Amino acid sequence: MALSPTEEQVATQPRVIMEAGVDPLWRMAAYVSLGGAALWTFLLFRWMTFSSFGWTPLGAELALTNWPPVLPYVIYSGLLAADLVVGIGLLWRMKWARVVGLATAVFAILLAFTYFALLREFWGATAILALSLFKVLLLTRQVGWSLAYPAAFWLGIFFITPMIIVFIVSLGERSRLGTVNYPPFELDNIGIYFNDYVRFFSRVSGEFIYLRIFARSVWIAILNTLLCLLVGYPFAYWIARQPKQYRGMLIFLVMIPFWTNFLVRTYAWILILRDSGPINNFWSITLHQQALLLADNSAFFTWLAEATSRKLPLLFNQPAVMMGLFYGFLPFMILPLYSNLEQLDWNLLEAAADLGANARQSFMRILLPLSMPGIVAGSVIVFIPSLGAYVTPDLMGGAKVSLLGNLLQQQFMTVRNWPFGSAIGFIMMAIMLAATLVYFRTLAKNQQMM
Amino acid sequence: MKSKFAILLLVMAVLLLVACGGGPGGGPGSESGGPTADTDSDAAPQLASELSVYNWADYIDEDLLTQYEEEYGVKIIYDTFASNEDLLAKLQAGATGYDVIVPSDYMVAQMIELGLLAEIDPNVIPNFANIDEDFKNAPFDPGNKHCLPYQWGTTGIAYRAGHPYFEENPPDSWAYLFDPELLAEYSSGGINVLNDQRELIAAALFYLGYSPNSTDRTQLEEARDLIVRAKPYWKTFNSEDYDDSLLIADEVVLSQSWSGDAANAYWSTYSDETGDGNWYYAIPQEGAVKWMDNICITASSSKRDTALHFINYLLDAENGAAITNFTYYASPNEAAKAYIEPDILSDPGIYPPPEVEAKLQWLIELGEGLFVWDEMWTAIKGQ
Repeated sequence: MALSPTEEQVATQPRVIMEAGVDPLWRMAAYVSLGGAALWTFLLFRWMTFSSFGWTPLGAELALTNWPPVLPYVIYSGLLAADLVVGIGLLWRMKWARVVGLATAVFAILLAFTYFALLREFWGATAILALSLFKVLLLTRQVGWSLAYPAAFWLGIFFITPMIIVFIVSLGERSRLGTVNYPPFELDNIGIYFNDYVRFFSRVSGEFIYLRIFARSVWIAILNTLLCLLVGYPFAYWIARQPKQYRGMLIFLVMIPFWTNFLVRTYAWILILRDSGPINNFWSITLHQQALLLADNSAFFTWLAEATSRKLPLLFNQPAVMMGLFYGFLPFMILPLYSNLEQLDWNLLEAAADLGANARQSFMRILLPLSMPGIVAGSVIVFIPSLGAYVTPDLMGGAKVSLLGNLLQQQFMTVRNWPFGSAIGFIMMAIMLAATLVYFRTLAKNQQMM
Repeated sequence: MKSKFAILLLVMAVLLLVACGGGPGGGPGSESGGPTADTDSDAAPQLASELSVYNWADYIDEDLLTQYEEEYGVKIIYDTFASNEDLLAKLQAGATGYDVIVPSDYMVAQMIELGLLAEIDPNVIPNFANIDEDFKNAPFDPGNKHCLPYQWGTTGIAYRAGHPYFEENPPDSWAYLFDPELLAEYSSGGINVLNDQRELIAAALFYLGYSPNSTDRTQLEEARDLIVRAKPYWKTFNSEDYDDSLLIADEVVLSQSWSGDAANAYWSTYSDETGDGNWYYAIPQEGAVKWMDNICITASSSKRDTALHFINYLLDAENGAAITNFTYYASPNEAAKAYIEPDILSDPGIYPPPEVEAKLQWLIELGEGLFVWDEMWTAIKGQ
């Protein structure tokens, strides 16, 4: 305990400043460090007891077997020691803890990148990177960024990074074997990077194949949106006008189909609509027999007997695709419309009626403008996935006709033209972005009006 | 103050001791069951605890897998794909963890070129001797350096027995799939074609009298136009579950079909009363595609010995016969013939007679020509 007085003084100085307690950001950093330490302890424990417990190896652990078995010990225990020291140091308000914490965090970030570069193991690298970046932000007291960090990191890793990768791939060209080649960079020839974008909008063997698929997809998406709106609006309106105790129940009923996977529900529709399904059986067996019995009585039954002798073409055509899309996306229209209509002040409608407006006028001038945000939200939510629909046209349309989603799947899976597929993906994304912008614009305008 | 620091140091020291004291005994790779197990093959091989098998849908009697699991204590992780292109796309996207895969002929060539298949020595597999000499040393994999034959078959036409039109005109030509005049007679009953770029365009090329591996643009455009003209008469493009969901369910009356799927439809609808099934299979007179699927080990697999052991198990005479008795595809396994049901051996749709076999052709890797095929396929699907 023979400390020199100067050291003693230096060490006690920050304690005076922070007597009220540890800085909340630093405390958070301490908890993150200790959490990290717990993680490394767990991994270390797994690594040490691999032979006796027979763990199912994680991706990171498989990757680490490429290195001599001592190295993982060094990495795990190094990270563990650093996290433990920093965590406890911060909680004990040690002056050096912040500097050491920053240094180890920066070192761990470098380690994460090296690790990924050497072993190509994504999850381990991401875990180290996520924890270390958070610590850096906390220790440098970036309050705003620290609060936004979990969401921002998630978006960065799982949205922005993949998007950048997709964009880079879309600039390349497909090799004979289906791998991606990038043309050598030349300034005056920069256009070749965008060949795939040009191809989408140009003639291929005399036809605008891709534009045709594109137009068809947009048309079907618009049609589906209108159909959902036409049916969903009165429905949502009706629910919103029910007594309060029933509304929750009704909305609950709308959501029940989501309990079953969409694919399973689509297959159920196939079973219902196919030639040997219940509808066609009723039509061509039950109805047909009755009509035959009565055929002599009137011209109508003669006609019916003739009509029912053929199966109804219910499946594997365009209307079937429309049906499947409409069925799948109707709840997405009803829910935003309902949440919008539910909050409406119905007194306004009464006031309009009092002032002499008829039903049509009060709908056009009161209800419709007020429910516009719900209409736009529902339309956007229905339009965007309808545009990329892939399963429905494949299963209910008999895979005969491509929509954008199928074209995209085909480029990646069958043709393995990743650059062109990525380009199509990017073009679709641009359209959806435009649709979303329209949504926010309308919303903003509406709020200004109110 | 100092004491706290001392405690920290102590904790660190203990941790380091623990870490070093563990020694190199740990780590998933060091045990025999670990993923990098490497043992010499002449001794009883030490098998890994798991093996991932990626096969076509409905392409094995799954009892064989259970039996293998019980006998050798290796857990089989079984997964299925629907087309060669799906398989390749998945492997190229970086999917690791598959040990044994079953690609077809032309895809084997492509995968070898891409370095996706592990090189093996077929002679370390005792049951390799069971394979018919005709199927060894195939052009897409000389010397069986990567793959061993699994099953083979043909692509022809399956049609509904008892359909009034087919009673008088049994479909023996690709015209029944492509000629609008013929199609108008029976297309109301439904027609399916394979949702497979290579197979469908190859059928059109056969009908037009060209090679199924043509890369000539005018020939392919002719094939495309033929398909586009016939397409309005077709009900579905399905190559995944058409035998069960379309043929057996009577949703169609005629379908482009792989031989085994047609046989499956026949035997699934077979009734002892009539002594017949509902679906017949014909190999068109213009010629048809002959294909062979092959068992290979992925280059990324770390369990080659276990994989080889499993392949040897599949090539066993009785097991090979069990696969054929289940899938109705022909087996390249000569020794298995003793155990294959006689009905299957005598079925000309499954084991075509020599004069028919002479008209069969392999699909081969297209090289740069693939781009033209892709363009035609997009045009067909985009109409």
